[in-house]
Order: sequence, then C-alpha cells, then structure tokens
Amino acid sequence: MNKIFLFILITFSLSISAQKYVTKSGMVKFSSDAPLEKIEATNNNVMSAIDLSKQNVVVKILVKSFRFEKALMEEHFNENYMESDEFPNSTFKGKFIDAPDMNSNDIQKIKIEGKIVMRSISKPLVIIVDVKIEGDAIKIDGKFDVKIDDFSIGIPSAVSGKISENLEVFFKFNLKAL
Amino acid sequence: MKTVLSLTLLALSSFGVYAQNEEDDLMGMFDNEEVTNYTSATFKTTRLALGYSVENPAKQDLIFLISHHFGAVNTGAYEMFGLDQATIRIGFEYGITGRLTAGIGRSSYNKTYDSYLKYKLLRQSTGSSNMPVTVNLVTGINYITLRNDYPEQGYYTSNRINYLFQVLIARKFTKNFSAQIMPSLIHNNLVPTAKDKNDKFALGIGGRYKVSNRISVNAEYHYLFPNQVVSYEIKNSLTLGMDIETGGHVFQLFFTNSVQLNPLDFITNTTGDWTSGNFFFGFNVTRTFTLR
Repeated sequence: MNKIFLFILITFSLSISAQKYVTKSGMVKFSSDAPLEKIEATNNNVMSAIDLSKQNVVVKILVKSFRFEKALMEEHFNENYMESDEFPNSTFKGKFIDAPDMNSNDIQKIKIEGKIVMRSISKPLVIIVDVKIEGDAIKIDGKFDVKIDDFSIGIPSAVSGKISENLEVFFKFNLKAL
Repeated sequence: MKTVLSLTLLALSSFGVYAQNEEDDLMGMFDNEEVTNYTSATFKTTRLALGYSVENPAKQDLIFLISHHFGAVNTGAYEMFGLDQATIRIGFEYGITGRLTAGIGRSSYNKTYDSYLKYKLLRQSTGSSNMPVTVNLVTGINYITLRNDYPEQGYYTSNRINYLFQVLIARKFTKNFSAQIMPSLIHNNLVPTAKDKNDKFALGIGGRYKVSNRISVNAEYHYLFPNQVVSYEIKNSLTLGMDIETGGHVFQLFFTNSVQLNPLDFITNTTGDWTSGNFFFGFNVTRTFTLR
C-alpha cells in the first residue's frame, strides 16, 4: 500500500516536470520604420519556458544581446534608450488562455495574456500566437507592437524623425521538452 | 504510515508554494544563466578630449575626426580672444577589428603627419568572466614636414620623426563616471640641447562624468616628470571640456593650455599657462561611417 502510494506520488511529480518546455536560443527581432531611417535589431539568445500543466509562458531577454546593423546604433540603444546597465533584462510572464492540442499537427492560433516588463515598467499584453507541435517540440511565433512612450524611453527632438513611436516586435521560439 | 503522511504533506505543501508564484518559478530556471557582460561606452568617443580614450571604432567603422584650436584667450579683443587664429588636425580612424584601430592625421602644428595603432588588450567585464579595467596599448609615430630654415646645419630625415608608446587603463565605475590613467613614453629623435632627454616619461589622468544621456563633462591632465625638458619652460597639459552626442556625431568642446592637437606633441611641448590666460578654446567633431 505504502509503496503504491509513493509510486503514484513520484509519477505525479514526474508528469509535471515532463510538461515543461524550454529554449535558450529563441529569436526576438524588432524594427522601427521611420521616414528617415530604418532601425532593425535581432536577438538570437532569448530564453523562454512553458509549463503546459499550468499553461504558463515566460520569456527572458538580455537587452545587451540585440545586434544591430551599425555598432553605433547598438551603443546608443543600450546607453541612451534602454539603459541596459541599469535594466539588463526585459521579461514576459503570461498564460495560455486555451491549452494547445498536443496531438494536432496544424498551426493553432492561441491567445496568450500576460505582462511585459521593460525598464522595470510593467504593461499588460494580450496576443494571439501561432503554435505548432512537432514531436517533442513546441514552435511558437507571432508579433506585436510596443509603444515607446509606454516605457518612458526618452527620444530627443533632434532624432525624433529617425525613430518611429511604435516598434514592431517579431518572435520565434522552438521549445524542447525538458 | 507516518512517513507516507509526512511525505504527502511535504509534496502538497511544496505544490502549494509552487502554485503561488509558478511563473516566477518557471522564470527561475534562467537565474543561473551566466554570460560575460562586457562594459560598453566607457567614453563617448575615441578621444578623452585631446588624448586617446580606450574606445575603439567598431570593426570596419571609419571615424572622421576634425580637431580645431583657436588662439590664446589672452590675446585680447584685437584677435577676438583667439578666434582669429587656428590650429587644426584632420584625421581618420579605422577599425581593422573591433579591438585593433589604425589612425592617420595631419596637423597644422609643425606641418606634421601622424599615424598610430591602438589595440584593446583587456575589456572590462562582469558575469562569468570578471575584469575590473579596460586596457589599450597605443603606439604612434609622427613625421614633421616643416621646412628646415638652417640647411647649412645638415638635417637628417630621422630628426623629423618622433615615437609614442602609451598604455590606457580605464574603468567605468558607474554608468555616469569613468576614469582613465595613461602612462606615456615619448621618444624625440631630435631635442634642442644635449641636456634635454630623448626619452620622456609622463603620467596622464582623466575622466568623464555624464550629466545627461548625451552630455558629459571631461577632464584630462598629463604630468611630465621633471628634468626631462630643461632648455625651455614647459607646462603640464590640462584640458577641461564637454562631450555632446547627437546620433552619428560627437562634438567635444574644451579649453586647454596645449596648442598642439596630437598626444605625441602636446604631452611634452605644452607651453600655455592657465594662470595667465594663455589657454585656448577648441573642439573636436567626429563623424562615424559604417563601411560594412
């Protein structure tokens, strides 16, 4: 009796851990399409994890890992806009509203609700992402807009023509079962 | 039975804790991700004010640098407090790699051509690899093309050449405050008298304080050790200035008692005197071009 109970307990806890998916090489890209200058940066070292049993999703971005076409842009991004010495990470914590169907091979549109934190400012975010199940991997991609104003990023009037007020953010994660 | 009960309780209680902030827990998986965080932008540009800073242009970036001094402030209203006079240097710096820089320039002072290599030996970093300072090595050579007014004395090409060896050691203490010390060795092939040393040692110190994201105040001082230049009176070089950054440009405005614009010249040849108003207003304008 005791042994059976213990066995159930262990299997139960194992089944929880088996429902975690993780990646450390997710891609997040943003672009600002202003009339004077197109600014684009890509980060290929984004960390993300999903706990299917709780339908939780988290994303952690090292701000300094964004790569720009011009080194000077990268320096200004870190020094003047994101102040990444002070705020090294941006994060997202959220939940799947509907659980993805693990037996489907189709692209599923799933709503995620959560909070994005940049420069220690937290904003709610609701997006619909594309989810595809491939073996023991979950592929997620999607896009959303970020208003620069929301995160108190100061843009001097001298360069306001070079940076648009909205950033388009694209992401692509390939999470593997843990 | 007792053990099973306590085990169940333990499992349940840990489950309860887990449920409370399960998202933080999930995020906790990434807490131990150690990356090396290299310090960037110790200074706004490759010059502290007059002298070199530990910044290198990025790989395949070309920096166009115009340095300009007006005349001495104490020349009075007739010379518009120096604005009628000018000393100028035009130079280029190129990032062969992100850590190795080659530079060339031409100064109106003594009609001098200069060139230098700057190599970033160490990078300040935190995280998985810790390094308290950034260290650059600089070696420079210049060639004076001013006409020889005394051809009868004989004059060798080597007399026109001078060398610089410098170590730049800098640390970004906070996001606003950075400091740099720079020991220098300057070798002049030709000196005015036999008592003057050919090899001259100096120790420089400088720093910047950012007053806003785009403006900083800078200071730079070079102490020339005594009894090296004896045939004429020499002063230590002191420069006070500010950096203003506007996108691809950095403007550096400063007051200095050095009329020369090249470290190889001003460290050992500064004659201006702050106390008698014999100092100069000047500026650098840098423009970065990405050639990739």
